Amino acid sequence: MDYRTKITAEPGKQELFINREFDLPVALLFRAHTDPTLLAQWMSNDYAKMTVEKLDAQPQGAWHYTVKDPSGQTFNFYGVIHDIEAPVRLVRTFQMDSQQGEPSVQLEFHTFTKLTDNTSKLTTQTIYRSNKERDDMIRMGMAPGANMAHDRLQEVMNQYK
Amino acid sequence: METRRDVFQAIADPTRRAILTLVALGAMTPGAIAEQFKSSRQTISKHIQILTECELLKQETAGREIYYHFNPQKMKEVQDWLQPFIKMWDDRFNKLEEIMKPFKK
Repeated sequence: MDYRTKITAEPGKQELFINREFDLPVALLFRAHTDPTLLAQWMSNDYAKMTVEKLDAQPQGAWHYTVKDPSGQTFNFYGVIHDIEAPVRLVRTFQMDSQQGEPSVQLEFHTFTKLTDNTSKLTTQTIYRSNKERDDMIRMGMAPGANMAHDRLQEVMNQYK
Repeated sequence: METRRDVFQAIADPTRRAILTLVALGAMTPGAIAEQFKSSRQTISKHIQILTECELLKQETAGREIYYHFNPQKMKEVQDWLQPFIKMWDDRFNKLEEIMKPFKK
């Protein structure tokens, strides 16, 4: 299975990179990240419905999403926009409510690049507080329900470890 | 840095990645592996030891020689860990592209 999305997570590091090329003009790619209606559409999936509670797309603006999983449980994600320049850059913090202990906070640098009039590239660098936190977030898939089927499988398999 | 003996730690080092690339092409003796690098034999031998402990390399004895084989099964663990995460983002981005297509002029 070939994915168009490349993810690099070097062992032992606290960061990861997500790269993807789109058959879209860069302005539309950027808009999909800052328009609440569109964002909620592509961030939702069969398992998890995402609602944009707040998205103040400007420097020092706050954002807040909620995600509802099939069991009806709601999870909160929020952060602050540090730097935003259409259609080239979005720098923000991302925080997820934790079920136990401290919430995990990450810093994201999103760079939007025009390739041609009709193609563009998104490069994201995400920095975590520790290597362990990064690895745990990857395992969890960062969104409740996003990998529910996979998590269930993991649970089932864990009994056999 | 604690010494983790797992696949992730094994491939964290560029020399170890190079060793794996070599051995993946065909089984090699430790001497033949060391010849490919500028580092001392001792350094390479330590890398081989770590790779063996992480089960990325398997030892086999043929006569008086030890040969190292690559174990692809172990490498798959790294891929398996990232795969669901890659799939999640790929699905989202495909959806983004789909949603935005109608806005194209």
